Amino acid sequence: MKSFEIPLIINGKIYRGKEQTLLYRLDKEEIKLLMPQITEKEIEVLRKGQSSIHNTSVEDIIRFYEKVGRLWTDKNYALRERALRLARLTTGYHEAMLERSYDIISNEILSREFMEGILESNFLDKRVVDAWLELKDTKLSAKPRGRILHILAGNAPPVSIVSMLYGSLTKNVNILKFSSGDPITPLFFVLSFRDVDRNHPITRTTSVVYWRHDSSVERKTLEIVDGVCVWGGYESISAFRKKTKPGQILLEYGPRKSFQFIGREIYNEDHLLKLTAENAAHDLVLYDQQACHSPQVAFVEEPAEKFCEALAEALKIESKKIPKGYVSTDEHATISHQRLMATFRGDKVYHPGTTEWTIILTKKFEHTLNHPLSRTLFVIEVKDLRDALRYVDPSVMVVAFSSKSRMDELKDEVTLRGADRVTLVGRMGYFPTGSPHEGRYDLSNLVRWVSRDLTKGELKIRELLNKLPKYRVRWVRVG
Amino acid sequence: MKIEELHTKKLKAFRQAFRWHYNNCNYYRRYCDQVGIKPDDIKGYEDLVKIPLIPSDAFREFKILSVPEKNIVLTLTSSTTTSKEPCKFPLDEVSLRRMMISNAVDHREVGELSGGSIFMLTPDPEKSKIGLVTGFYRMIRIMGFGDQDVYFLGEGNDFGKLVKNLTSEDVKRPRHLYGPTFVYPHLLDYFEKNNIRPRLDEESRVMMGGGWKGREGKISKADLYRRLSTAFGIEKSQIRDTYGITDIQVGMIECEYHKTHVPPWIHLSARDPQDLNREVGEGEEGILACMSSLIQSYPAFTLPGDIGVVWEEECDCGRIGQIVEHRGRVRAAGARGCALRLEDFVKSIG
Repeated sequence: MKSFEIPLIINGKIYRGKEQTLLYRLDKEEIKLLMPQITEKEIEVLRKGQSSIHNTSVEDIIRFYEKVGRLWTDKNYALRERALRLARLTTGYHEAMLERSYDIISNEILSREFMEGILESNFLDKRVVDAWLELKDTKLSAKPRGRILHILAGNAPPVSIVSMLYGSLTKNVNILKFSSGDPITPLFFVLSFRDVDRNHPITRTTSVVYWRHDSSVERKTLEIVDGVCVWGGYESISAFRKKTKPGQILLEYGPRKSFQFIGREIYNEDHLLKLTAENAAHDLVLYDQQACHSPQVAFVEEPAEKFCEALAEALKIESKKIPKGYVSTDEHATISHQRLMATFRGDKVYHPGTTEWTIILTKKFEHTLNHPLSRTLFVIEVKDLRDALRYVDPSVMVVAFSSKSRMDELKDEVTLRGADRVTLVGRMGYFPTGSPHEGRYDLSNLVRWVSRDLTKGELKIRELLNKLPKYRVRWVRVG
Repeated sequence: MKIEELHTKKLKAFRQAFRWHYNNCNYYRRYCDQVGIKPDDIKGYEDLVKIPLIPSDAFREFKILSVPEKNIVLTLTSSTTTSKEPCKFPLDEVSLRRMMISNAVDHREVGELSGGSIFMLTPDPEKSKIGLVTGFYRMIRIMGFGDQDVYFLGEGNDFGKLVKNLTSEDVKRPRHLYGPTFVYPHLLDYFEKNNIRPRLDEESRVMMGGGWKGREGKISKADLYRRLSTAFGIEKSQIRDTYGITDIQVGMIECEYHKTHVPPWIHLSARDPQDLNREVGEGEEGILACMSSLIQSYPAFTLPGDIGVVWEEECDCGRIGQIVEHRGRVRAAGARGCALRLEDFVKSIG
């Protein structure tokens, strides 16, 4: 058995120890991750620490994260190298998938363009986080709530960093509780803060912790935070709904699934069919189908077999570009079982002879409900994509279309039924700047909107100014 | 019997069974045709691996019958935590009789269970429809145990009454015990707490089934056997684990060397999780494919979701043939062991 020690971080200070253990098993290899036990004493340290970073300007925050991003673009950066080695063991993802994730984090998420984009799409005018802006008869400002606890999931590494940014860009103090599925990504990114600026307010106020569910430490932490962002499954979210108190903001990022809608226009030309299949394959392989944006079902206008054959060819290639991560015996068995089940039902099953990927062409949506994931796509043939609309509900996050025209044709129907986002096949895993998440713009929920009334005098002046002719007024100093 | 002779008899039995189900079960025939296997493809013992296996979930979704539905006298179900609907296994009279007799023979010949009285550490089967309870009860009735010879723990009863009956002079000897594995640690704790040491008989059998997982975690077999041996004053060879597979209506019992012998009318094989049509090497862990040649009412060629190891040997007990070591369940398949559902009942007593 291999053992690795990792620290935890409280208000920027590193804590070491071996009292807590996370155990991972990859085939016959066992890996132990040792870390300190967080006690109520450390929570008290958290409580006494700074409760927001409201004195730091947004520009300063963005510059800080840009520097962090630049560090991580270097593939030889020591922390990145170590994170990749350990994350491969803890997430089970192939190294290629993790490299890709860390490239996305460093080049895209921690870019000025992305961060300013989040701020502008959430606040329209990002200055409201730093200053007071006039709106109607008031002046408005967005103040941090204080401390935000992030309960992170382990299925998609970039998500930890996005959650952290949500907290920082709204000048909150972040407490990141990592998931056993991915302890490494959030921890190592926060460790790298010290290589940028040990004294920066973000470095000095960010914490990365781990505890068992329902521990007393969790309860104590919930008492001192002003908001909780929960990423995870139904159980986790239901649990935190019960644990949070009135006045505490709770932002849920729960389990979702996604669909592909493939129209018959792809059969018009061979290259179109091939391209659509390649794009569909790419959507499927990302994060081994563990992400909310991963397609689980494709509704395909007839003849769906043609699409399935093209998709099978595309998956042979895509699987080599982004190989599948670790698959446990249970997962192998579940995939094989589902294939047999599909065959027994009379469905058509495509696979490469291993459990690398699976396409199941089935007639009934009910057959998709016991989904094994792990790069398995159920394909349902329809006469018209409109026949698939009834399967879209609020559990569906993304619907990807085979063409722009079909996307525009059905975007209202699909989103009215509960889907949050429509896009093109091949783009499911790429969220453009400006997109809402879970149907919300959550930075707005991570602040308190405060106002300062305009006085009568100020209102009068404004009224007068509005009556002035619309030419440039130059103020001249007299005397 | 030599191993080759056993193989010949097995081949004959399973060829016959496969042909029966291929000809009489529409779902199964369509399935076999889809995978391209026909009865004539089973020529030698090594071809048994080709017999198409039905995944357990299919018994939840379809009514899979090889006889007219009006012939069905009993439908057994398997418990499940992954779905509201249980899997259903329909039995006609012939299959039911064969099942009960074969299990009785196995328990008598391998388990050396005969005569006396049986204390079932379970509710009365009138009140419990769980296979582990009803199946065993039906079997011991076939073996000749009368109503007056069988005692139940019963809901609302406690271990005190069990001990009173167990130690009574009026109870027929030898006294045997049977129950879910996880009940025994509770029983032993009760004995220790109350300083009781009920001595059993030389021919007594202490039998258990339903798997080795309790609410507190995995129970150590060696530890439990040691405690039982001490508490009851019996040899460890008198303690027998059983491995039941509801899908094929079999309950297999350990021999005195604690090896679970697969009866000759049953065929098990450990399959590669990546390709369930392929066997792993002998002695290697795999997903268990389970087949019975006795059941005629449905194709009892299934994948119940168990993990285990299968090999052939001549055991020290003198029996030859397959031996199975059950190692757990495929986790995505969900916990289907009957025993776990009983645990809530047991927590309320003792």
